Formats: sequence, structure tokens, C-alpha cells
Amino acid sequence: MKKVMVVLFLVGILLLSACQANQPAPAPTPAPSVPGQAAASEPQPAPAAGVVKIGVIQPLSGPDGKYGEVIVPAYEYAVKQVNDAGGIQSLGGAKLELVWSDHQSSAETAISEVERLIERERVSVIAGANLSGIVLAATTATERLQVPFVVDVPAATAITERGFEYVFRTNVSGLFYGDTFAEFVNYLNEQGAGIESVAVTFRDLEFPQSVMEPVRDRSREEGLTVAYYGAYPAEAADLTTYSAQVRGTNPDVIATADNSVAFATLFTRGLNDLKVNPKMIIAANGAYEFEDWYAGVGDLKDGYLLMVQWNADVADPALAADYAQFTREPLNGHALLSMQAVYAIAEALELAGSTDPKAIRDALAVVRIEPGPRLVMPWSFLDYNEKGQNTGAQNMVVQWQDGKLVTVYPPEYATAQPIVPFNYWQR
Amino acid sequence: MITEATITLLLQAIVVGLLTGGIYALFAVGLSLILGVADIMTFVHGDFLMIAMYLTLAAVVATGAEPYVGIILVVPGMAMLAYFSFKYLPAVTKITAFPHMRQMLYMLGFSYLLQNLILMFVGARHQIISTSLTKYNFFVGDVFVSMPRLLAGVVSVILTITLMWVIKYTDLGRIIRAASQDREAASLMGINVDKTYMLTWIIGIGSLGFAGPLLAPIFAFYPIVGNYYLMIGFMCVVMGGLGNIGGALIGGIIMGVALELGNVFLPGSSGPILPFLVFVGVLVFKPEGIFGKPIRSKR
Repeated sequence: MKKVMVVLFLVGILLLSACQANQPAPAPTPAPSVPGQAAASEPQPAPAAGVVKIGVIQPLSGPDGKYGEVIVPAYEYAVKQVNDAGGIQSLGGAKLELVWSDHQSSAETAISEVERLIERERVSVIAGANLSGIVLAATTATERLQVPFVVDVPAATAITERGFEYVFRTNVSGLFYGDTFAEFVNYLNEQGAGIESVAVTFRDLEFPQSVMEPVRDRSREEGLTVAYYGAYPAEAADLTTYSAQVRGTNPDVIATADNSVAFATLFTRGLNDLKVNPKMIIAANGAYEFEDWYAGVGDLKDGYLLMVQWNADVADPALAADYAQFTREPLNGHALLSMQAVYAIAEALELAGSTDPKAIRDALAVVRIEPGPRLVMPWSFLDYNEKGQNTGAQNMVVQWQDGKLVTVYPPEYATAQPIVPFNYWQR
Repeated sequence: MITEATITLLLQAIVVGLLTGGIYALFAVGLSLILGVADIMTFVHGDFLMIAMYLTLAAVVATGAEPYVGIILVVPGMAMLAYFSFKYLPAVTKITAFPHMRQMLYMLGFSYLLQNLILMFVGARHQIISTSLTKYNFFVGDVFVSMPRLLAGVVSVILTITLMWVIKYTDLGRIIRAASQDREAASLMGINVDKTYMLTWIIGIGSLGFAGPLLAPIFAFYPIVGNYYLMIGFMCVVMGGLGNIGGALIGGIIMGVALELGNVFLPGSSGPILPFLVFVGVLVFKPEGIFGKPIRSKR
């Protein structure tokens, strides 16, 4: 009898887990503000006259150190541009000065570094930090100490959904991927692509889920059939079986996201092994944007569509040449997003006419950048809404065609026509 | 609703599970020898597998050959690593004389050391290895069979059965069994018990020299991947009965199939719930493991 009870209990757990596992995790609650603490550590204005200190927190060492290496020259380049153009006019030509800090991909380090930047270095504003998880942690400290944090690259939806007042995100949020996907599918269907069903699958982690959930939701709103929606495990898993599951639903579109190049490569190979042949395969950037992925999958990448923020074929040639000369690095999307964050800060300082963090926060809330030298991303404007999300941010869709990555959507930036349906497994 | 697609998927999961189970079995047999026979509370078996995978990667990067050719280098490499770790690391040399709790702490420390050495010198990035064997992949009906996985599963099962035969029918095997059954009596019969334990340690870890190159082209690996395999390994070993090699083989195959079925029919990362349930179920009905002898007394 006892054994039967145990078995029943175990089966109960199994059923519960099957029902609940795919529900979204609850949104993190805002950190409670501690007024006394905030008042005690009230930051002072920058000590040196004519200088505005910007704290920049990045992964300069540790497992993600190589992303920091790409970003450092971008910040320096943007600061040089602002300073060479006469600095901040409303502050009597004050120069920008970067104070670097390394979060080593650790949330604890990020929080203590933010505290150091604000309390010891007396920075007026902080920018960073390349990784969504780190930004989620670090912004709890800036919120408490009431210093604006301008987010450069991270796209996890939660960053701007916590009701924080001192967070400003320059890049797209996860929600934008749903819109991009729906608009792109509609655009293709207007040209007669006949896309009716979609399979959405991703690695079971924060970033992939936060970009693929909106894809599922927007697909349903647009009347597409969501034939499959599921995450593959974040641990060592056999992605062949997942590919078989996707194949079983016979979708017109496979939408996917991953943040590990190795898993993305295994999934790409799995789809190929099983000869899954949808009309198109579209992935959010993240792992699929990295050189390791497209080198690792070889010819299999042909026809893959990616949702990205920038592609080399839309670069402003003058900027690309100048940037490469100054930094000895080719221009890239992460660098441009970092430069964009610096320009947003510079424009806000211009408006604020003050180095007081609160004044800068109020200026960031109203600043708007129109196309021009200070809008380096291929967007029509930059404007932070009441949540701190830049509403002007936009995704593009690019496609691997004959071994080259070309922009295919939106039409005003496109350098080639999208090839959909693509015959994936006849290469 | 049971459709044709569901049945195909079920068959697919079983095929993949059987083949992966073969590799888990090879891993578990080595672990079972060390745990059950040499009586060393090892927590580094997974990390040695991780090292074997990184050695395979090194061999592939250095020579550009197929990962399977790496076996020639990785097996002696692992055996040497096992020998030196047993001989010269104080943690392992004297370990068989320590109480279990102290062994465990030593082994956990050793595990962190290995993980962080790889983290320091290679980095945290996920790695995979390509093989040209994938061009021999084939379909049986609608069920896909991947060549690297078939090779890994079959070779692992053959190796496991060979090991079983060695333990059961050779003098070496008899010595190992004698040393595990009664340490004092065996040494009175002229068996060098410490040397036997070392040999078991080397055989157990040396077998990872096969598992590493077989696994590396199938799964992604990274410095802490050993923890995942260790968990599976422990479950196979306990399920099959501690020290029982045939049991570890069956345990490995059951785990492989259960994990695969769990991954397919449970959402997201909740797949491992199914093998855990099977494991708990076995413990409830047969606490000594499927092939374990009823527990009589404590050592």
C-alpha cells in the first residue's frame, strides 16, 4: 500500500511538471527603495571642472571577456567624436571621461562595481554591460543609488519591465522580435510566400525564451498556426530528437533562438540530419550572429534568416572607414550599439546642462535623436519611453545567400530580395 | 491522441536512448568498478570524462584527424593521468585508507581543481567536434539513425561486455574481486591490495579514454559538464547494484531511454524528471538495485 502511494505521488509530480514547465517565469519584482541609504550615499557632482565622468561596466575579463574587447574601442571612439566636436556645449564645452570597470560576468561583482563607480568615482551616469543577466543585477544598484544606467546591447525583455526609473535601454527588447517576425512574414505573404504555420523552438534560458515567446504570441495574433512551441534543455541534450519533433509538425517556418554557439550548431546539424525542409528557418541573433556558428556549420548556413540590429552591408562607408582607422577593428553591431549609448548620454547632457545624475535622468527621459551623425544605428529615431525603452530601435532581417550575409528586410535597407521558400536540403 | 507522428517520435526516442544508453553504460561501468570494487568515493569520474573530451579536442585540433582516431592518444593519456593521480596526488594515494566522508571532501576538491584548470586554460565556451561520419547517417522507415551515435553505442556495449568478461573470467578479474570482497583476506593470500585498487582506478578512468572521443562528436561539452554525467552515472550504478558491472550496463541503457523519452515528452529542461522517477521507483521496490544482492551487513 505504501509503495502504491509513493508511485501515485511520483506520477502526480510528473503530471504537475508537464503542466507547469512551459509557463513563463514570474517577472522579477522591483527592488524596494531604501530612502535613508540613498540619501546617505547621495553622489556629488564631478570634482574636476569641465569633465563629465561616465562609468562604463563591461566584461573585460572572465568567460565573456572577448565581447568586452570589441566594445572598449567603440566607447573610446564615440567619446573622442563628442570631445573633438567641442564637448558638451551647455556645460561650457565639458569633456566626457570614461571610467572603466570590469564585471567579469558576475552579478555580485557588477553590483559592487556599480557602487564603487558611484560612491568613489562619483560618475554622473553609467553605461553597459553587454550581458542581460548582469544588467538585471547591476540596475538594482543604480536604481537604489538613483544614477541613470544606459543599457547598450542587452535585449532581455525584463530589463525595462520592472518599473525602474533609472534604466534606459538603447537596443530592442525581446518583444520587438515578435513584431519583426510578424511584419516580415506578412511582407513575404504579400509576395505570395503562403506561410501558414510556424514551429518555435529555443534553448531553455532567459534570452532565447524572452525573444521567442513574443514570436509565438504575435504569430497567433496574425492568424498563423503555431504547430510546435517548445524549449530544448539547457544541459547536454540530444538535439536530433528535438529536430524530429519539429519535423513531425511539418511547419512552414522554424523560428529559433540560442545563446550558445555549440547548441545552435548541434540544432542546425540536427535539422539537416533529419532533412527537415520548411519554407524558411529564421533565428534571433545571439549565438547565430557569431563567427563560430557560421564557421562551424559551413554550407548549412545558406538560406538561414537572422533577426539582427545591424549588418555590414548597411554601414555608412565614411563611418566604417574612420572607425576602422581609429580602432583597428571592423565596424560591428555591438560597437555601434555602444556608440549609440554614448551619443544618447551626450545628447541628454546637452539638454540637462548639469552633471547631477537626477537631472541627467530627467533629460534621458525626454531626449530624442533624429537621423544625423549622432544616430549611428539604422533607425529612424532614438526616444526612450516611460519604461526607459528606446521606441525607435528596430530589427532587420538578414539572410545567408551564397556565403554572404545580406539585408533583406525592411525594404528601405534591403540590399537583396529574400529567398523564401529556400530549398534547405538540396545544397 | 496517438498519431503516426507520435509513434515515429517514440521509436526515434527509443533508438537514440538505446544508443546513448550504451555510452552511459561504459561511463557507469568504470564508475561502478571504482565505487563498488575499489571502494573509493569518487566525485571526479565526470570530470575525467570532461578531460577525455578536451583531450580529444586537442588531438583533433593538432592533427585535423577524425575524433575517433583520438582514441589512440586519449586512452593512454587517461590511463597515465589515472596512474599519476593515484601515485602522486596525496588526495588519491592514501585515499583508500580514509573514511568515506573524508574521501568525499578530497574528491570534491579534486573535481573543482580539474574543472578550474580547464576553465583557466581553455575557457568556459561550449565545444563540439565535427565528424565526417555523419554522411553515413541513414533512415529506417521514418526513424533516423545517426552514424556517430550508432558507432558510440555499439563500441561502448562491446567494451562493457569485454570488461565484464575480464572481471569474471581472468586472473586479473579474480584478484580485483577478491580485493573488493575482503581486503585483509586477499592480502593474506598474497594479493597486493593497494596495487589492485590502483589498477581498478586506472581501468575505470582508462575506459573514459574510449567514452570521451565517442561522446565528443555527439554532445556539447564545457568545463563543468562532468557534473551532469556524474549524476547520471551514479544513478546507473545504484540502479544496477553497486559494483555489479552487468547491472551498470543495464542501468545505463535504462537511463538513456528514460532520459530521451523524458526529453521528448516533457517540456523544456524538465526531461530528466522521468529518469529520476524511474530511479526512485527502483529504489522503492528494490533498494539494493536491479541486480544487486540483498544488503546483508555493513562493511
